[in-house]
Amino acid sequence: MRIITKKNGQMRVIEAILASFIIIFALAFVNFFNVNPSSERYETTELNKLGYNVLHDLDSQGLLANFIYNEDWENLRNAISVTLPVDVYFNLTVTYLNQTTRNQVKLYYGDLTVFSSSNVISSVTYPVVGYPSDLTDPLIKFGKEGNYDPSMVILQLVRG
Amino acid sequence: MKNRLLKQKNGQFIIIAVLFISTMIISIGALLYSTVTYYKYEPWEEYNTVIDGIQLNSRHLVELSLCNYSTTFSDSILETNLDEWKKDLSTIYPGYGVSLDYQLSEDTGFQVTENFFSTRARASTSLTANVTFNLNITSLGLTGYEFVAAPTLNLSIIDVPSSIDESLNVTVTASGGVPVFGLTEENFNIINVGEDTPVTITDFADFYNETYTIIYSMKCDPVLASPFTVDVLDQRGIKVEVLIED
Repeated sequence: MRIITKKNGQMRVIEAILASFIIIFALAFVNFFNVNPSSERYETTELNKLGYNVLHDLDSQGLLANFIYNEDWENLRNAISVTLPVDVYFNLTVTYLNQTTRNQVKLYYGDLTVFSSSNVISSVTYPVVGYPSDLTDPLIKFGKEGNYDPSMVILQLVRG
Repeated sequence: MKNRLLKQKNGQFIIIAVLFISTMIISIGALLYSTVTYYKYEPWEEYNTVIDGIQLNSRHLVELSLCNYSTTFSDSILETNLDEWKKDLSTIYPGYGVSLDYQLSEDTGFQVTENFFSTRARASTSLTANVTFNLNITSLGLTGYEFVAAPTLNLSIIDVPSSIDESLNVTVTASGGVPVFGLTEENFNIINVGEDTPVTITDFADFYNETYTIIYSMKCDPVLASPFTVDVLDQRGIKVEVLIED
């Protein structure tokens, strides 16, 4: 009965409600302008990172240039396949600097239609400068030829 | 009721405190937003890989040029290749503003060091290319990034056979004296100077040695007669020759 008739605490309740509104307004304001990392962009960055790492690792081991300049396309495809996760599909193109294609066979893993249907496709470009080849000069009996013959490896990645 | 609200003097402090808290929340939110966007939209990993790619391929190119020089002895090959590479980088990385400068250690960038001893053993030849690169990428704000490419191949003769039953022992090292592993008889070529046909390696083996780490041992037919040359070709295609003469 005393609680019902007590008048002094009402203002405190109204203050508390007002304070709550202000805090809720502040949180709502911050939340409205807070942009979470877009999953598409995040995914592309992850795939880019993956692609770069694969090509860089193969190049560090001297395999990338070896496969390209010896035109060992099957082993290049297999090497990339085993390095990437199973659910990541790739489409690989090796070009000269003038953009003409170097690989005569299509190098891909997975369903190619996913590349046209997916919104998140990552593309990585990596250079290679050349690889020692057999001698063409018949006067030199022992050795290798090291000619500068740059190529670009374009690796497209998508999650299947 | 309205009059009571207006006349009430006790609640101001709480309201002001709450307004302060709200201001702090909004400020921290704005700060977090700028931090998140800073880290979210800068693909640092991609930038690192661009730099790594240029660095690694510049090193490969110096190795490739050394390979070419070891066979053709073309003095200008390194400079020619590096100039082409500098030019092509803008095609490979368009829009990055890549600029690569280089400095050759010698006139040609190549150095051949030969050591002769009075005995027939322990002669060695070392072939090196030494280039200091300076990389600038304007779009990343990268300036003056220096790296060195100095591939080396060294062949040292340890023992020379005096009869057909003895072996020719050699050791092969790369930059920093790191032993080169995985060579086979295909990587060696031995010639008795003045004879057309190369010496046949009848037996080939490699074994661990405390001093040299790995020694390649070869039995030769016919027996080696002074003067003779031993060539080695490593996996990078770099060739080095040692001439042995009494």
